[in-house]
Amino acid sequence: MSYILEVQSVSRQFGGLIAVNELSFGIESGSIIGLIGPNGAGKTTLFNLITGQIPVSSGNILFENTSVQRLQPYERVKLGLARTFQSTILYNDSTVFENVMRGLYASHPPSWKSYMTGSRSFAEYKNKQEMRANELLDFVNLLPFKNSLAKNLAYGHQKALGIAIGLSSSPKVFMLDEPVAGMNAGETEQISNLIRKINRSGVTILVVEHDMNFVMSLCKNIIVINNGKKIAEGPPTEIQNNPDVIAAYLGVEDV
Amino acid sequence: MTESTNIKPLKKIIFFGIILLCLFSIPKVGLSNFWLHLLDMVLINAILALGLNIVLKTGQVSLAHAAFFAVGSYGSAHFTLMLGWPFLVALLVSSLTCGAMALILGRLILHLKGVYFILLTFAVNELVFLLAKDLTSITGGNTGITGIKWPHVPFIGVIGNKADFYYLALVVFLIVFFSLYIIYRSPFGRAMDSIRESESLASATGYDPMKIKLISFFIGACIAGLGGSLFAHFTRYIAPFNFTFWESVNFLIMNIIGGAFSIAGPVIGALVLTPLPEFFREYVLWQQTLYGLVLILFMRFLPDGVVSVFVTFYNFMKRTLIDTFQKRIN
Repeated sequence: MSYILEVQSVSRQFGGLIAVNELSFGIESGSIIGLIGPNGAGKTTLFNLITGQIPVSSGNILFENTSVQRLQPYERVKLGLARTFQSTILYNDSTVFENVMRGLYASHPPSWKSYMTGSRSFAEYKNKQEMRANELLDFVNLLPFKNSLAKNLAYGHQKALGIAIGLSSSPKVFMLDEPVAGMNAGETEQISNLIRKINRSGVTILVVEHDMNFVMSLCKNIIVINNGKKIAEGPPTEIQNNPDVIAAYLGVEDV
Repeated sequence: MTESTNIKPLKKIIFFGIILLCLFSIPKVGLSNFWLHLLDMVLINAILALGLNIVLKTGQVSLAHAAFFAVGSYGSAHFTLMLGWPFLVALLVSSLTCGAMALILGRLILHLKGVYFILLTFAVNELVFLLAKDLTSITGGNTGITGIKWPHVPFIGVIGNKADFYYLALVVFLIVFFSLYIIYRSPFGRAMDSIRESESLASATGYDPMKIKLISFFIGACIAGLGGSLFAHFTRYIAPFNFTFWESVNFLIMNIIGGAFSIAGPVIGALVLTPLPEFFREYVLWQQTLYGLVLILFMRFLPDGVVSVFVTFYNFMKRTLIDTFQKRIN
């Protein structure tokens, strides 16, 4: 089985605390996978290990069969692995449009030569990025807000902007960290649809979430972790009936 | 964030043309040596403040700027006096030496955040200051280096007085200013803004933070080296006391008071701060206290500096005039 993203026996220790304990799983290309577990289970740590914000203590992380556990976050982005942030990090003092432009310029850098010579190829590059920015904003339904400052957006729109910025690097695998935290049923449904739309365009999705309805209806497979270890893996119906999962986690209403 | 202004390119060129004409005509007015000295120092300080500005643009607050200033000064003095190199060669080589120093130092400390980075740069500045005092054979120790020659420029000859030096300093200043202007508006400028506003987000979208910070640190140090060389050949006497931690703070204050977010900010800061010690001669002891107080007040009430006042005023006038015209038409 060839996975687009594979975690092999990954561990992460913080002094005496083992946050992630020899965790292994693989993600098939084109799927939507959920990662759930109680608070403190190690989801965020695992997330940050995969995207590179924290180094692993041991184990391998393979992206398209290439070892990436020693690469910096920006290097993993270049390979096609993008993420959003739980706390929705944005360029607060810049406009929505500028936020997406920065994402595009970061992942599709122009050549210095074309800028300095003021050539037509740089003008073309600029136009192309602006067009892509408009497309991305339209994709997440933020086009009407393109000139608003990011900090002035409503919470749900800020989350959508975070997603648009993540998509700007044209990722193959897109990891979302609690994309519907604090949202009502209607907003959650919108994000669900958006994620399905992204998936249909060929992007593999990995979602960390606490909202059970959201996760069960959206994901093809779910990985459950507790105390840094994987305790279950399978389709939603299996997970819902798994006694270990029920014992550790399910039965708690989403907040 | 301030609103951007949208003036037609031709108007901009005419505007800058007039400014350039005025700038080049200033010495012709017939100023005394006192004023010429101040003017030349304003230009040198503006160059140095601009060098710090590009470092600040990536969010790294550096207190090591005087250290690069020192290396530029001592380097240029050494190259011309001890090695007999022509001035322009010494200018360029001391600038690049500062750049090389920045690349090595930067690789070691630029990953540090916030106060840790500031402390390390403070330590570097102190280290260079102590080296300047102790390496007596190279730096002349506490007494410094005297008898540094006026600059000699090919096709023009010796620049031997403050009025002529003004033109040399002005040319270097304009080159630095316009180079930064181009850099700030380039994709690299956008990269620096991204790193400054959120390094997490920038790196999560594909920017390499260390590379961007290193390049800006390098450019800032090279500019400081240019300023240092000019300074050495202007005052023709340099000593460790010119390059203390206080000098680093001075360049930082120029940026904050002028407005660190805009390229005009450090220039205005230099314009305002350079003459002040002259007019407060009797109150020298109070100077540092006063500076500290002014800094606190600015950070509290005018964090975007003096330039933000101009921008706000300009936007206010524009809106008022547009409203008035629209009422007339209707």
